[in-house]
Amino acid sequence: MTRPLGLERRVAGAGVVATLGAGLRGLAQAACVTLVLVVLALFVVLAARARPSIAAHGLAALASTEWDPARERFGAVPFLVGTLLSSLLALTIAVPGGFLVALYVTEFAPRRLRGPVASLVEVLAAVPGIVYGLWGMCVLVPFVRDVLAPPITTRLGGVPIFAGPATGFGLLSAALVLALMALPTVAAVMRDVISSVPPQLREAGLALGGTRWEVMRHVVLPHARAGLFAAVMLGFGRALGETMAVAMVIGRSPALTASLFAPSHTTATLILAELDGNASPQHVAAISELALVLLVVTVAFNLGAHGVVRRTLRRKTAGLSTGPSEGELGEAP
Amino acid sequence: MALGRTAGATDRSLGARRREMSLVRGISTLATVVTVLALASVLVSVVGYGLRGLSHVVGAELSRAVAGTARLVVVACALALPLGLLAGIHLAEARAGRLVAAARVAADALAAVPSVVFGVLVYGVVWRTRTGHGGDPSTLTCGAALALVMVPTVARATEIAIRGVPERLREAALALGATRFHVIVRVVMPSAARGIATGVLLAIARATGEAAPLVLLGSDASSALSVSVYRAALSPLPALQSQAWGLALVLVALVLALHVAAWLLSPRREEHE
Repeated sequence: MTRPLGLERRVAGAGVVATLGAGLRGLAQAACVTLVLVVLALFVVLAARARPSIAAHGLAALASTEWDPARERFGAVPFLVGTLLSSLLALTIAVPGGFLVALYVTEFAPRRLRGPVASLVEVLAAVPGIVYGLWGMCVLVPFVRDVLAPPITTRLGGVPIFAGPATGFGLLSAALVLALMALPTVAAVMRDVISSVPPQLREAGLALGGTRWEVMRHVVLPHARAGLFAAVMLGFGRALGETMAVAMVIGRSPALTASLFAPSHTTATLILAELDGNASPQHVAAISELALVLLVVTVAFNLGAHGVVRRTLRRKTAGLSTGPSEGELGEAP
Repeated sequence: MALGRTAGATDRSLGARRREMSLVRGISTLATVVTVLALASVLVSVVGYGLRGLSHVVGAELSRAVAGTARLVVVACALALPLGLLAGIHLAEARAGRLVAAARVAADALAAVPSVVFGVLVYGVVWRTRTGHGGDPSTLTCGAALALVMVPTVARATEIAIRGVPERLREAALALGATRFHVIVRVVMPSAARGIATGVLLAIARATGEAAPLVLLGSDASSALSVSVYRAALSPLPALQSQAWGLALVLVALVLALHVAAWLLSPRREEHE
């Protein structure tokens, strides 16, 4: 008698469970819809706030260099240039640096150093931007002002990009802080990418008599190209939008200058500095337009990088499927 | 292809090739030493100046700031966790379709957006007239901005953790007559729990260190630890600057503690050992 009873109970429960299952699926679907809506809301709200500015000046504001809110001049060029320059400069330091660190950790470091170096790099990837900003303000800015800049500005001061006087707050300091912030991330991603290359490829290269560097250059790096590219793009996207650390060392001046030592501004730091309760509606609109530009650029960049990586991976898998796969080679007796 | 190029390299003497490798080794070692020194300088400054600055930190102010951060993180979690977890479950479990593809793009996009832009979004939503705005922003608006920072991390960690659950566990549960709901709630989620918890802790760590949207929304020093570091750092008074280092030390300690907790929970840790 107990058996049918148990079965009955199971069947009765099944209805409840089915309802719960449908409920969970519905909620999960709703969460995905919400995610999509949030992204759409970002674009819609920023565009709506920016509309007065776009309506008044069209996109011409993006091509003008004069920013003077008091006189209702909203030229965005200094901030776009500042953002681009500081990020590119940071990357010219962080990408080779991150690559060399990744190379050292995966190939050359003594085994007992690998762990500590990797952990230090990971710890510093976790330190908040505001702390890098504080370090930049109190350590890096005096260093640039007193040690790095004086010999350059006195000798090469005639060249516009090295023109003084150097207060320490400026484009160069911003780029250095950004480079230091991006370096751990770039190094960590590149290390993961390099060490995820199948060991069989590496071993085959070594078996052919290549030195470790030759195997790296001709076998591992070509294989890891897409991942390395993604690491660079990731670093660039982060640098474009970093706000606090840059705001504390860049000097915040809307004047367009060529000098590395002159105070400058980026899109993100302008938003932080000027969007507050005192801004006039036109001013808010102009800032919103800049925020919209920053949003579009960072999102397009990131999605583009994802797309490239995905396409490369697919091509690679397709290429392998014509011959024996790596797994088959590895498992062959 | 690679073989042909490598074969070309063997035309050179072994000595030259060895020297080339030593050169690369030298450069990468040098770069690593410089990087480690620069990064160590950040840590040494935080600890050195921080310990000295702690004496300038007023206990009551510190506890107010920490309580403010805790309050914001709780609000952000209340908004971000249900959204991120459920979206992650759907991304991992649902068959490929338009919604899944769109949600994946949305999560990627959200992860790429600079946090200051989330501040502009929240500002844009609560923005009224020029006179209507002002005063302290509510915990809810600031928490909402932080939630946007957290959501993509939580969703992605959930998706990856669920995908990592071995197929045989699911099949075994289904073979025993479990419904899909039971499989998810009783089998998949418990075995993915550590991975998900790791992701949640990392997301909380990011939210704890985040300052840009809070400063943008006009928070004062008592509303969050990260904001109090910023406000003290910008002060021209040396005592307050010293205080900024003390607060920064507490902030870094909190964030690193969350990272260590995440690392201890991480399912990957056991594979490494």
